[in-house]
Amino acid sequence: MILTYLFYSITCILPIQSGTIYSEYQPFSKTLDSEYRTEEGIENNSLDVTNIPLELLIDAHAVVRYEHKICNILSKDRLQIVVEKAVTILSEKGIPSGDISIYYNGEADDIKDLKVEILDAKGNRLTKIKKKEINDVSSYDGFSIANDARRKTYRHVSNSFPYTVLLSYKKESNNTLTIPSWYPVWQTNVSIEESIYKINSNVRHLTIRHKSYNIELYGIKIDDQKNIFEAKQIKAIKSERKTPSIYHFLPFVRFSPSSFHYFDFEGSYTDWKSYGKWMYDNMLTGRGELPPALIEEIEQKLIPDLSNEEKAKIIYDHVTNSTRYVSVQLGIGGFMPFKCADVYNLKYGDCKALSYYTQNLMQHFGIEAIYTEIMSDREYNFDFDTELAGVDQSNHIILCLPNDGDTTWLECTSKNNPFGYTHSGINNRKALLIKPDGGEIITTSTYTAKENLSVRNIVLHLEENDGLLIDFKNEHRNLKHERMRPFLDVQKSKRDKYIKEYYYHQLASLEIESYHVAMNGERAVLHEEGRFFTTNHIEKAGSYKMIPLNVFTFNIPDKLKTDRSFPIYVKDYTSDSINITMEIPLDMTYVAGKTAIRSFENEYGKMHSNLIYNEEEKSVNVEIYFQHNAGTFLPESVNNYNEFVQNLRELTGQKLIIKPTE
Amino acid sequence: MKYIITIIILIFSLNIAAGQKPKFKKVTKEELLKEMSFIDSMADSEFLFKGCKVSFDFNSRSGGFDVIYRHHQRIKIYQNEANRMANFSLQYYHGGKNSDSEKIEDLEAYTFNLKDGEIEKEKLSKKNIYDEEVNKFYKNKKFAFPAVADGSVLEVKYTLRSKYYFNIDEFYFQSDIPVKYAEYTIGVPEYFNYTVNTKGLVQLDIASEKQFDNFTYSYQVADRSKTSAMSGGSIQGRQDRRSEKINYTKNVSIYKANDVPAVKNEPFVYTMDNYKSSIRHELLFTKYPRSSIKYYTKTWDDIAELLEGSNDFGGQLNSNYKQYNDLIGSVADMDTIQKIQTIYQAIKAQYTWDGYLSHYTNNGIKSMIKSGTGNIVEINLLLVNLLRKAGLNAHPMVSRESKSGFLNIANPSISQLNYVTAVVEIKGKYIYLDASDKRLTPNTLPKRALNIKGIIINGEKGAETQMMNPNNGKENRIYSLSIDGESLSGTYKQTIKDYAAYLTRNTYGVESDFISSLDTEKKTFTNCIVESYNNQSNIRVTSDIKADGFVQYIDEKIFLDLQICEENFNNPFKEESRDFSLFFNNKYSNVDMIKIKIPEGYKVESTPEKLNITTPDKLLTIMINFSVVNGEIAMTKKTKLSQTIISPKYYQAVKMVYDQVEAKMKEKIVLAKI
Repeated sequence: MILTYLFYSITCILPIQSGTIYSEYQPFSKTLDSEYRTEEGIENNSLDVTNIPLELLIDAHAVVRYEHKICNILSKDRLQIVVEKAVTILSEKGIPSGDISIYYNGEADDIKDLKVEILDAKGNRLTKIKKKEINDVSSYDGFSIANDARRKTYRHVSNSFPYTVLLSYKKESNNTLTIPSWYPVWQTNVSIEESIYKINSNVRHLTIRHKSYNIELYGIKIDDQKNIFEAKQIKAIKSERKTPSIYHFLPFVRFSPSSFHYFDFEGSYTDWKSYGKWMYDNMLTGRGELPPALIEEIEQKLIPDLSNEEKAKIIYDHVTNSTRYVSVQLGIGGFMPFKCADVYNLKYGDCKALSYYTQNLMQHFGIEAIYTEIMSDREYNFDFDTELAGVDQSNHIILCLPNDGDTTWLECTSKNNPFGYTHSGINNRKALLIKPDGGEIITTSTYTAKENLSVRNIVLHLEENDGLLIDFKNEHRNLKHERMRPFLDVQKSKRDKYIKEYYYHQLASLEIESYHVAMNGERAVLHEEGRFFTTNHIEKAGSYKMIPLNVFTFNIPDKLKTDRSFPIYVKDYTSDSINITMEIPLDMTYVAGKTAIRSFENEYGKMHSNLIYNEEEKSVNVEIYFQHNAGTFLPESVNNYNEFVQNLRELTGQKLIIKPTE
Repeated sequence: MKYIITIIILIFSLNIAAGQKPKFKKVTKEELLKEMSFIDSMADSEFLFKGCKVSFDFNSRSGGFDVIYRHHQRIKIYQNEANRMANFSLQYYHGGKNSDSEKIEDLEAYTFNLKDGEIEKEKLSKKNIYDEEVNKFYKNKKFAFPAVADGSVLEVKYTLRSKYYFNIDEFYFQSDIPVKYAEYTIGVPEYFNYTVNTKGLVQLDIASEKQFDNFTYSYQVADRSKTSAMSGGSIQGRQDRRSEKINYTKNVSIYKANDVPAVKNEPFVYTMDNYKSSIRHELLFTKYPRSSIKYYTKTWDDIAELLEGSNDFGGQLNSNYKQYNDLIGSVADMDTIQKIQTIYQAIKAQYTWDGYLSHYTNNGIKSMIKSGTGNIVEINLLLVNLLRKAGLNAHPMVSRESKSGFLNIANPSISQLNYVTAVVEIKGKYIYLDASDKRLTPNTLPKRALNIKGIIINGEKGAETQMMNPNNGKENRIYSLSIDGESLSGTYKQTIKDYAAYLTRNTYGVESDFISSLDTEKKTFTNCIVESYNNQSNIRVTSDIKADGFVQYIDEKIFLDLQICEENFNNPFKEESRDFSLFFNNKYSNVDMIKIKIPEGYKVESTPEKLNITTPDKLLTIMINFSVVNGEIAMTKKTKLSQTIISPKYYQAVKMVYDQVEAKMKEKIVLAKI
């Protein structure tokens, strides 16, 4: 029985009484000011390190003494964030926790009154950091050729520990589309003395919805009336491997305004339906005119009597083969796709532009296609929150083709993604359809263990001088094909090098005698065939020889530490079926090993192995099958996890043993 | 007549064989139809042309010369994986005043495709060119070529205008894709004289000639003859604007390279840029009309003189830091080694490196003493100063951070230098000291400080020195085990010395992380006692150990795995061949010993044959030996690397050593029932 963790959530809708105008908002920190500041500046020793409760020092490289954040919505198109923060750095590993890293939009936002000071262990001021020491850099997101994201950065390098970094600043923006979320605890090995977030609004008829997650475990207090969120005395968390995303177990609160101003646009929404409608009407309308030349190019490829799916495939292939992915995120371009005519001329675009382009083409030829927002991530299945609509829950656009109930999902930015293959970045999660009548949450499809299957048929030949010839014919489906895709996509001149590096630990002295790889015609099936030769694989033991059967990497995960606090997360189901045949040389005899048959099963998966020795033909045949189960498992089941991994390691690490015939 | 025609035809045919500079926008059908590179048939793209023309234009506003770089590139896309070549980013300096900034002008780009046999070109629109402010010193001009498909030819030209003529930008003939034809032209006015540095294995075709040029120089002259007697003898007169046309000669050189293969990435190098074929010009002297020659650099002695004479180097090095009088007094009676240890330790303890490299101090040593942090020059110059005050023969050694590339000894220049270490000469040998890493001990250097050569600055003399990598690591591990069913259990002892100790502390930080690192999937270490982790001495570890998966019972025999000391031993050298030297960060000499008690009722049936293998000149030696003594089987594995730079001619030997060790480590010891 798999018990999944539930999101602890409280949905809250807080209408502000109409008629109430907050003309004189109280910056929250003023009430706390008197505790920490005097007229000359920070002087008294409340930031003395000895004031930190002992339990907050355990496993902590740094301590957040206080973090006070206020979001003031001054008007419908003016938002102000006020931040005051003090972080005490306890050791070398804590230095990054004192980093100043303020993201802002170069076009729309202003950073004001930025002050950084360094205090000593007693809480007395050591230095004031000058403005010119703080760097202002463009915030390269890793793939855009242009975006207006910028960052103020500074890292203090100190000689002795502990020391405290004090930061205060104001960020003002004309964009009121996003109200920053609250993440009181967001780093491992950092404890929190106090973190408070307050939202003040000056705007009539503005509703600020919020939803909190995972707060029960951390004793977080929420005052719904005054919109104050408070976290105190939270001990440092240690990092653990294979956890679900931190959004699953660390506390945070999301907000959503009922109306907003963004660059030159205004809007309002209360739920996903109205959000989707605003998106559709303002961002996706009037930009879909298709150049006649483009239409003709497609028409030439369409023969009569094609099914909708066949037509869709032709259109999809045409788009992905004639365009490439280039990201430009400037201003409203963060939400509004390029016009279809522009994509046609430039032959490039980002996920929005390419999806919108493909969508309009599909619609023109009578195929229903829906622009879909999704949070693309290959490590986790991030869901849209069904209860709180807001703009920061997606990072990618794909297309949904209803296809009469056989829903197909299209990734429009990649030439290497087969038509309709729901890749690991977009599978098994809630996404948002943007339809003319509004938004709708829908769950993307995913694949079962049987569908994510690798089948390997291997024949081993022992050569002289302990060389080993490996003949293989493999087939990989869906998620397994995705993992093997680089073999097909890598530049041909680099392929041999890629193969040798990939199999480095299993087959170190590898020579590639032949290798063919191709897609198999079916949707997402990759076919591999070839012959490898390796010289250092067979193990000599006196006159005995041992041949390890793990000739291809099986990616066996490592065991987990047993003192565990957080759940164990496995994202997808997969299965492997391997069949190995080896001829015993005439002058050698097969030696029966310890366990020829093994099977094992628990909540993490199952496996079995079967070995048959054919005395007449002097050959051994081994069948191995194993399956990983997806899910979120209780931390207490870590011993079961380790047992599964141990068994899998032994199963796949079997060795065939032969000795000279007496 | 016939002869003349024959000669003309011969000249033309010779020219056709070599590459020619293409005309911008004149892309041919042949280029569009070309299906693959003739240099490397599997390359996904290649430069059909890569060129730069460097000229000096007189700037009447500034009264000096600007350096103009006219770049022109033509790229052929064979496969769509080459899309990275279609996204362009040009970095340029944009700091300080506008007049100091570099400017990018006349940027034009086109994509050419063949459609139904006709050449189509798509122009890059100005609105799709983005100017990105990277930080307060640099900007990037970025754009993406439109309409790129398999077979496209991309063409771009742009001009970079710069006022910096001390160093002419390095131009690479070679790239990580093949280059069919590269051409570099530079026309230097007679007033400037540069040293030319070329590097790399590519053959260059060089031609030079003199050309004539001129510029108009206008200036103001105060006309004293027009002083008005009536104004009471005022000196100020009418200002006259004069201009003069100045003729000068230019030295024009053209460098050409044909069919340049892509540079192949190799592991165990500092940076591949060291090996790409390129050309660089550094200003040697200027001689303007009616002025004398002004030399910029010539020898390392000149550089030493420059450094010594600078307030940001010599001035700092030779000052008096009274705060340290007590420390100097306290070491007066110590021996040399103790003196070095004490002073070195004091500097490391008191100062933290801020991460910045340079050849000059930043805020100065006095400021560092107050704040506690300094750049590499401040920290190590103070160290030299105090060592000298204590009577030692200490000097600063300037060089280059390893990943910035080799120090070019043949062409002395200050701009190459960005690292300073301290050296102490004792009886003709050098001890290296770098106080920027608190974990280092005397005579060890961090990876970033390593280079092939350095310059020792002694007064106004700069002595070229081979940097002898002082790093030496030693690690011994002893496993004393007995067989317990399918497990091995017993005790473990480990000693980690010198550079190996430094690496260990650097990798793991705190002691508890180091202890956690010992455990593997097959081995568990318990009751660990670690000595001297938190100081500078050798680290010692003792613990209990349990190992699973190394014992197999088959056919009434026991098979013992050798990989207890090193699980999954793999040959790190996979390349077939190698062009460039191997660089290691340290020498090492390690010994692993595994002793296993022979269980009751068993004897040793066979052990693997011993292995004793070395490269010529004993650069890398590995010995694996087996013995049976006192009811125990012992395996000893000794590994020794005696040189940190290994020339490529030894590569095959090194690869073979590891191949043989890899095979040996897979063998087993066999015990049989008596």
